[in-house]
Amino acid sequence: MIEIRNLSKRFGPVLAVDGLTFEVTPGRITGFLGPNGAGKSTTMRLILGLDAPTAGTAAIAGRPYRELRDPLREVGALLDAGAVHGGRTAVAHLRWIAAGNRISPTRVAEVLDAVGIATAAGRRIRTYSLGMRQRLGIAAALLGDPGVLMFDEPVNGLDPEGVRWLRVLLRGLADEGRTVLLSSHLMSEMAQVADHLVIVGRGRLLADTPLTELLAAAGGDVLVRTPEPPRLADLLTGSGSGSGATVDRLPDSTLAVQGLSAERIADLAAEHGVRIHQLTSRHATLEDAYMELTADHAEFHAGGVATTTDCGTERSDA
Amino acid sequence: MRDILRSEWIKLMSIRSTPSTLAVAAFICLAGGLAATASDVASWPAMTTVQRTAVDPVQDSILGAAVAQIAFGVFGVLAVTSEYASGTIRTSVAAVPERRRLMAGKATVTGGVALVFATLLVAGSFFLGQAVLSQRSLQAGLSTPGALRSVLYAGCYSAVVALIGYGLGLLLHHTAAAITALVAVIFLIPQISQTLPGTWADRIGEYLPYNAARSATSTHRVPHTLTPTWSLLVCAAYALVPTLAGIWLIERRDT
Repeated sequence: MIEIRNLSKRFGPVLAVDGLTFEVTPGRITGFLGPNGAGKSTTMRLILGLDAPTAGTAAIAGRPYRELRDPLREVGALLDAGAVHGGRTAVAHLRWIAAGNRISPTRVAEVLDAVGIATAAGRRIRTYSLGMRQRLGIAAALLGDPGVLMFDEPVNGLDPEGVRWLRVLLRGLADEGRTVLLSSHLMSEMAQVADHLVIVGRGRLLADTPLTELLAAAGGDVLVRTPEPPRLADLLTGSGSGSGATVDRLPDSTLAVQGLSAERIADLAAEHGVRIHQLTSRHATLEDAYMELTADHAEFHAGGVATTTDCGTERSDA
Repeated sequence: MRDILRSEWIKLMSIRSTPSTLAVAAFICLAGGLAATASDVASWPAMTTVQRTAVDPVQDSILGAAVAQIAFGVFGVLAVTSEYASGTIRTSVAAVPERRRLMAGKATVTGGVALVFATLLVAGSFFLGQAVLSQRSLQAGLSTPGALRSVLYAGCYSAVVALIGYGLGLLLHHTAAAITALVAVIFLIPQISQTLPGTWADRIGEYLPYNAARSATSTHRVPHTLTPTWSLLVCAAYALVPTLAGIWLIERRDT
């Protein structure tokens, strides 16, 4: 369990994290989403006590990280797979981490095996690919067999086989009752793996919701193919349906209907004797939902800086 | 604390800069002692009586330690800046959130390794030098007055320089900056202080590590220096100040 309460972090003029409050609960995978510069990595660093918060608290199982005895036995984290000394071997890297938290040296061999780099364990990390470094970082996070795990962009550099392996690993960890916090920019990946989402923008909380609810709220539409498109369109938008649905005419005698379920469309068509050849529900993707939510919050989206400057000028003129 | 010491030991022993800086220190120290003693032996027949009495068999045999100290300083710098350069400092701090204990543990291991290695090295240099000097029966022994103290203090002084490097590394984070500061403290400031007017050069000079080291490692009393033990303590203060400042800062800065 990770509890974040009114957490803020200021770097000079920039408020990187702005009054965040959320909980990451055990037994499920919580996805941590947000545009670049939204404060995800800073939040993770605050949880680990690497940075000191300007205000608020972050607690692991009720205690601040800095008060944990042998913290790696309670929290495992992969923040930056590149933060390793290239001259060390993987086994030496894990052994010094293990020694400081009274973790048995046999555990080093176990995690190297678990992440699939046991055969390269004696090589200097400098010779590792990015994917292998990610696996080593994951091994370091697993070292203390912790109940809380945090991964910042762990998919970076993994090959498709590695991505699938990671997905199974994360699911297994959550199923064992562990708390798993995962940040990623890859929406399709997140949609496949996360149970719950915490979405931030410019350091603020935008959403803290189950994945399914977010997708449902973002809506979707129903594609209807019919030999009588105008008639069906009138029927669905007309006062008779009482729906206020919106209908777009697409090629191939197809209508895209928003605001009515597939069941309701079929029922209405049957009542009025309109023939339907195909009926397909389309869900919004996580990417759609996310873009909608973060549209105003992207720190670095194209042209964003110039627009902000223009607004400022206009405001001062007014 | 034992866990931290073990962790720091594994860390220090698993990077290449450890064997390479220590190998450089060993080469400089042994070569320096060999050159000085061989020169004594070679020029002995041509020396005047005054020159002959000035030959110090103990000091000449461990002369290399005065240059090798910089390698020990670099060893101390790299023990900490290698963590900042690679980013492993964040893993270290995540593993041991109490930064003071972490850094005290690292200082203990760094200083301890330097002390043991330097003491063995200086002792080796001493015996090697005496073997050379024995060709003309100029050799001293550990029972020669001041000899044992010179050898042990030279070892201690090398460890202290390693800790000065460690402290500067902790304070400055960057390898190049810390090594520059180290060279300035050990070699440049003593040079500059010589240009001070009147008795100031000597009065301040006593407290500079270079002169303090000369006092600590000599068999006889060097003019315008503190006693050997006081000199070593002054050197220890040079290590302590940046280390404490660095530890004070790491508690307050984001990692």
